[in-house]
Amino acid sequence: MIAIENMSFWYKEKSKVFDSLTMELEPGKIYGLLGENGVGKTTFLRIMAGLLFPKTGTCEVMDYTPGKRSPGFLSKIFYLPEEFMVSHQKADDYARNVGPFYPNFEYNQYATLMQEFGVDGGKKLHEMSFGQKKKAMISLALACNTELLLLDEPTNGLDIPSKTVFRRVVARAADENKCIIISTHQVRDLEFLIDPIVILERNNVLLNQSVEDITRKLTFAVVSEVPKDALYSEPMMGGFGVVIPNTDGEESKVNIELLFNAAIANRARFAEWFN
Amino acid sequence: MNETLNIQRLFRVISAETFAFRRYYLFYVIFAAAYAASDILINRTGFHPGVFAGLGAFLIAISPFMLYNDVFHKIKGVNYTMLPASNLEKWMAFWFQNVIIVPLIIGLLWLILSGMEFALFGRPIDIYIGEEGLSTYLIGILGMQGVAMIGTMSFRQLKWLKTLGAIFVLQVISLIISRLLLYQFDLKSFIIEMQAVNLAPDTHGWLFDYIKIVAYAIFPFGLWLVSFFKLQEQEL
Repeated sequence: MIAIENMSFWYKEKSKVFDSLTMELEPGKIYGLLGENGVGKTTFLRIMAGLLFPKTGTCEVMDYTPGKRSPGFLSKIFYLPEEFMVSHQKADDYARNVGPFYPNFEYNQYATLMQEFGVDGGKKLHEMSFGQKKKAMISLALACNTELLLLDEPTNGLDIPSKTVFRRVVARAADENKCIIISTHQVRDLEFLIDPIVILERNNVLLNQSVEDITRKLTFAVVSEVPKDALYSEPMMGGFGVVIPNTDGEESKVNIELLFNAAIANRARFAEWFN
Repeated sequence: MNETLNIQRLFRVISAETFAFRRYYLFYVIFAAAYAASDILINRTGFHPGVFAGLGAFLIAISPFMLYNDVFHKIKGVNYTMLPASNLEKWMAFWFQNVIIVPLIIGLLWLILSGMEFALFGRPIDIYIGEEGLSTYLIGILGMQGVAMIGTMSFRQLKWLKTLGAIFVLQVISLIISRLLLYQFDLKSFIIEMQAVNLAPDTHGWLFDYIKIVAYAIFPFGLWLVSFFKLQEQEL
């Protein structure tokens, strides 16, 4: 679905955001895009959306070149940025105006999602709170039923019940033809939703693996004493949360926060193991 | 799917934008009403639609800055850029709003003011500049608007300020180049020649026609074309 080859991008040539990045993303998955501040998660999404153009190399999305912004491409993709501007229209009117640009848009689905989130579609978008606006836009994004859905920090600003609704509706929306990419720092909000996990580092991709592959190679556990071969450990309730190489072949439950910290602390080893 | 031009999609973009710009269009109406009210309160002799026409021309010329100011803003411009329509359709909608809708609204308001002046004060509707002058006048406004269209599509922020800056820089450069070129030739006889052109335009009709054609091709058609290419290459 997404093929990136030797792609480089920079705002200033001396400090490249991506340097010869090569990776592929497949349909039927909900990718979790993680990375430290400033590594280029938003830039990555904006390149795929065609808002920014690669300086060198190629980025092909559904066989389209995003930078050309052809209507065929734009009608198959929905990008919801972390910060966004809303119309002065009522949420329902906005959905009625924008929806028809997307061939698979379903108004009833939008209305159901708005109801699930508890947002009044008769209210003007600019008069809503940030969380309500976000829920309205998430409802619209999902109801457009695009093949590619790019969500940048979607759970920021959502209250706890809405995060639960978000997980439920995104899981329901996913199917084998769709690719959903969620960039987030709130890994706990999405722990059971995202798979595979992509960790970006400065200039490149540190990890792009399914949860299954990760747990085949790594074990996540809470122990009373930190083992010598631990890749990463941190104190938590009941002892220490650790990431250790999986030597006995038993699969454990991924703790994304531990995984992320372990990856950042062991860049070279992760690159060797997973690429 | 037609990837370049689909009339239904174009119509959808135009109607969505017209709806989004309704506040600006309402502003034009309020502006005209405020102008008429203040004029009649101050002068008590009528609405002076000619003055309104001048102000309207200014509003037409700067309309791209007003309507599309945030079009490439990193946050505010995302909805516009991600809207599933081709660059050509977006540009045509941009052109339609500025070149057709805005002048139509201003023109209509001018007609209403003139009609009211005729009804209340008995002064007939008068296009002061005459028919030929009117077409030159309209082309001139569209030319200025074309510059604003390029500025809107070229700069992400501070569009009008940067456009003015760019015009100033271009003028300085063209002044320097033209002076350098003039010094290459016989400056004195050239000035005399130019004065002759000024004094007797009829004898140099071909030159005026030629300059006119080139000017009309650049202002506004060439500017419109450049604004389309600028729309395509803009990142945000």
